[in-house]
Amino acid sequence: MKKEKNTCRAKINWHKELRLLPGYIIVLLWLAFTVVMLGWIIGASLSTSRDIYQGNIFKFSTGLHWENYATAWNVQNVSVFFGNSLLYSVVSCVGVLAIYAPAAYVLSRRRFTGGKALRIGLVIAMSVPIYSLSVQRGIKGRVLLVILYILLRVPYTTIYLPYIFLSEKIIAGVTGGGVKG
Amino acid sequence: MFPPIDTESSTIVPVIYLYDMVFGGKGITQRDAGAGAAVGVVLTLIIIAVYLITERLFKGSDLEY
Repeated sequence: MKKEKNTCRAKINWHKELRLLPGYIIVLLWLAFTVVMLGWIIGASLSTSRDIYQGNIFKFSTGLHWENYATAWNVQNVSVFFGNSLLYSVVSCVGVLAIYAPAAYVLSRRRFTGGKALRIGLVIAMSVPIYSLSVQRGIKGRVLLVILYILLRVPYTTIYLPYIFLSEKIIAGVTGGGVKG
Repeated sequence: MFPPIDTESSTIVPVIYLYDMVFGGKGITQRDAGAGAAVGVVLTLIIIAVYLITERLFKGSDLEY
């Protein structure tokens, strides 16, 4: 039996589409910008430094320089740099989530003495120069970066997440039922 | 307030490496804008790959907001 094709298509509402035109134009401009930037960087990756600084990226007067990829990869420790990126993103994500999710939940769902002061403290904490304080205490290297990534994000996220936890619908969806706050 | 500290390989991530490659930095003996752009292209490809993997792992229809 021949499978019936679904050829039913919604009729285009031109009046509605016309109202959305400014949005389409903005998205198209953004798309064009992204494509141009990507094209530029791909062109640059196949050019010499001289061509790039002279603005002759797409002329390729000296040919395509695929060796740029080899040069970038032949530097010592390049695999370490990518490993660092993975390590910092995973550790900081886990650290931030472990601190701010329970903190934000308690701040939004429970009323307790000092709760308001804690919220104000979190706002003030955003202006504390954690980088400077950490360096002064001799903390450096991986530990410094992990501390910075976690501590710089915790106040900001803890301030904004309570507004999400106030939504009964979201909490019910996460816990699979109701929640008593 | 912001005392300078030496960059060490354990704290360098690919974007810092890219910047140092193009504009010069500690440990980079010769600046090479082309090689820096090559790092950018590879980073873009990695980001697209990670996006596609996460899209496959967490399908949009499975999530509710």
